[in-house]
Amino acid sequence: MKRYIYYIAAFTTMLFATSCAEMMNEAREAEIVELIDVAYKVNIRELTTSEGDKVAAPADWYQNLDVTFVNFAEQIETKATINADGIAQASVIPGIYNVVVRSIQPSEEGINYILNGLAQNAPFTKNVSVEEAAASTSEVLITPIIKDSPLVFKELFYAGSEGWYFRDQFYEVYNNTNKVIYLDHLCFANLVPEFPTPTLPEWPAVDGVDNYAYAVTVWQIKGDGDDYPLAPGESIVFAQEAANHIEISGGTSIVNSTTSVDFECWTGNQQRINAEIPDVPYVFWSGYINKMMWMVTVDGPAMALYQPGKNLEFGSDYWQEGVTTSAQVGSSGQQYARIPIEDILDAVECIPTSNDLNMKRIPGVLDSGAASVDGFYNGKSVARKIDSYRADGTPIFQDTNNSTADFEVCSDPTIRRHNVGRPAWGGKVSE
Amino acid sequence: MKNINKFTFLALALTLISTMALAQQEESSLQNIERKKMESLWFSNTDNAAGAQLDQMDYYSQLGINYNSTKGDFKHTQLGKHNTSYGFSTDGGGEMKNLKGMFLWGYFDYSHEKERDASFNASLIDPLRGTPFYIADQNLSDWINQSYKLGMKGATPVLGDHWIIGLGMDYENAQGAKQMDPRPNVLMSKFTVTPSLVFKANKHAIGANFQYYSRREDGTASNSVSMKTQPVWEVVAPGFYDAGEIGGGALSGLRDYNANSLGGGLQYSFAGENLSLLLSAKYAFAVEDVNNNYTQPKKIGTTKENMWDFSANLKWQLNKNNAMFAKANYYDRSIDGIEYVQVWDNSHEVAKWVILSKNIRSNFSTKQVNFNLDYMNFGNDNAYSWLAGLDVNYEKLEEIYYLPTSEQQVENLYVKANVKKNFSFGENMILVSANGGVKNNLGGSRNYTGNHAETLIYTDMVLRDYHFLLNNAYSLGGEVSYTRKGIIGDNSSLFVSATIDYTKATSCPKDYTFGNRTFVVVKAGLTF
Repeated sequence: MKRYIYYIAAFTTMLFATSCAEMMNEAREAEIVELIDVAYKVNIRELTTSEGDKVAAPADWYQNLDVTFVNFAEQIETKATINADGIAQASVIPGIYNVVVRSIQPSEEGINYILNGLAQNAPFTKNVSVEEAAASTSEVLITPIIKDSPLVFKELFYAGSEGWYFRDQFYEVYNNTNKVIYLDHLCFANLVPEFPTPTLPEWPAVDGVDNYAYAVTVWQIKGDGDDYPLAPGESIVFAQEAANHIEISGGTSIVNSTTSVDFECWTGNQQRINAEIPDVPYVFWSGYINKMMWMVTVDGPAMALYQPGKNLEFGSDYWQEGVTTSAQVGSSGQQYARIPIEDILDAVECIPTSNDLNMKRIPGVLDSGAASVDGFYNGKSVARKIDSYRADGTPIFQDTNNSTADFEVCSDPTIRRHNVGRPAWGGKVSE
Repeated sequence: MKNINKFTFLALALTLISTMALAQQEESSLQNIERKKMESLWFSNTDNAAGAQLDQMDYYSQLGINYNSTKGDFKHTQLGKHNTSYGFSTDGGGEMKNLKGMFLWGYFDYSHEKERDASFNASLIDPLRGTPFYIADQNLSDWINQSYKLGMKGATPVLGDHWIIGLGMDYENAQGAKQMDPRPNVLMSKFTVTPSLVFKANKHAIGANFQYYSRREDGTASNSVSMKTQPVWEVVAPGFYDAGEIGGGALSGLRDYNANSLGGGLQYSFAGENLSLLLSAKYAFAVEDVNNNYTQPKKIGTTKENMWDFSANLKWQLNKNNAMFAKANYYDRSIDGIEYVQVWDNSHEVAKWVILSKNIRSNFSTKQVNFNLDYMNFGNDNAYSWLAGLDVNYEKLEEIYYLPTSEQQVENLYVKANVKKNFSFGENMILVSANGGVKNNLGGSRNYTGNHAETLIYTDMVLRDYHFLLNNAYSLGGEVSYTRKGIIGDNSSLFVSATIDYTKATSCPKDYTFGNRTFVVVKAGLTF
């Protein structure tokens, strides 16, 4: 017995000494930091002309791209130079970077294209030559999309109010164009990961890179195609629950009431029926359906708008794996709605704090930045900034597909801020 | 806290039993013990326990309780504005004649402290201990700290006329609880072992010792009011941090510090009839890893510390009643702050953070040169009658963050004089002392190129601390103690003492008014 105790003691001492020596040797190996010269490839996909043809992006677009290496942990942004082959170069401190590409370029047709792209969490630890970058499979892939999305998210109030109150969440959508937009078939999607995380899921290889956004819940305004016109300068508002929140919350809600919204995302809770506001139905819901309520994370959701061109039904044949749904690699097979990014009218990434950019979950082409209220249950919303005004005085909101720049934090969440219009049919239950 | 209390009372009982067992014949008092320690060059100035055998310190025991109060703004920002503490201390030992002349000595200290209005710290019991990696928050908060520390030194008698083998061991345990969100409950433990050897040849002796310590400190800053997030800074160097929210996002409030240190010392001594000389050199290499998760750790940083310490000590017996003590010391500590580039790898069965590279991003250097001279008049008893001293200390503090390059440098000179008079009236002794000193800034510069010059933590902590270091100041202080011999036994004494020190800043810039700081210590106890 004594011998075994001796052996155990000797083994423990040896293990401990080895671990201690390893720790010290690793620390000794570290050298003083120096700037490194790195290169990264940027690749612009074919663009779709107004006739629907696919053509290569003009060569001079590359040199006009604005490329920034963003070290979000250290809050250091380094502007990069980019050559005609799309190789961006910069001298940076070793670290994890988001390579952010932003630009608006006119085509020969006179159409302005947004060229936004993002390579997320790219590690740079040593020099990378132009040749190495050109040969690498890592790249910022840009899908040119036509500027001036007709519909934009105007204000998102997801954070909730003091006292753990979250029933006052609302989301406002605005017609940012000069023409009437019909909202029939408009889908309003909550993207995955549902909760912000730096650990992003892996999607099937066949889906490719940055071709799709994935949703956990999709709500749709159903109509015949001309039932819900939205004039320029008008907005509609979706609420989690259209109610007088001052009464329900006992005074803690920052939003007095959401009874002036146009749609309520009702999931079937008989205690929360607000008959005067029409319900918008969910047409897709991944996993367990919460019949109490539909709420998005108060930490910051990612949301998208798209119009599939027809009315969808929950549980119908429309939803098929590999066509309109996908499952995460290594998962139990739970399906999520798969939305082609070219179909998306607008998307907004919201993160817990401004420094959590490593939690971005949607492709950079849709949103190369992120908005945040820096906390939760703090009664703050993110609202789109005004870019200019139309002749009739209605605002045109900034939309560069960069929510960091396009949104501002507001401590007074307001439905139809800036006195934007409400459609005549708004908030009325259809007969 | 309950565990600490259990350990405290257990250790207290053991220490009392061991020190009581050493009760001896020589008359004992605080002044006598102070003199013994000054005369014992190896014991007081090296980590070499074997060398203590050469000091022929005889033996002593003391135990006491203390109350401390510190108040005022002339301080580092992270320290409390008004701190009070109480504690218990005992130490004792010496040459054990009934153990064939072995040297045995031990100590135990317990302290309970309340720090008030401390700021910019949600990770560390002692925020000034030298690590740049911690979480800082915006709330003024109280901290309640409790600690105990115990240790021993032991040495064989001289073996074979030449050799002495020694061993020192120390253990420290502390707990610190922040009282305002985000609030961590920080636990710290440190174990030190110091084996040593001395070779003695007539009046000459050379010694060597090895020293290893293991130190752990961990605590998680979390919110009691969970519906409200708390903005914090994950600091990696002064003025460099990642901002986040405790209670929101991916930020972990945990800081898990794990340090190991290896070092050693070399000593030479000469012991003449009236002159004793001790030369010593000490080196330590310490590495501390800081993680933010127990099961899936992400390395927040590592500190790599090199410490050198050289000193020369002289004891000169001028005549039967007078002695001089001189000490020259050079201290050099350099701490590199290492940061890591890591990625989250979920391709393995067990997902983990993978380190891609590491670099030294910062360095913090302290250089000190100190000269100390003391004159002692023994008077008619085994304590002393007069003790006067002069202390001159030059300090140079440098720090650099390599990229983006930011630097700070401060040089200061401290001069302090003190005098003590011990009045003896039969069985009673009254000690009166006074001291005064000045701190004179010799220069300083700061160049910051980071992105946070306008933030609260930069203006209210980093810049404030820089100006605190630059500030000139003077200090005044004094002590009164009363000792009554022979109350419990013939050789024992009871004592009470009160000490006050006052430091006042004299060159405050407009934006930083430092004022003053007052330290009060009241002690009572027993020596035997």
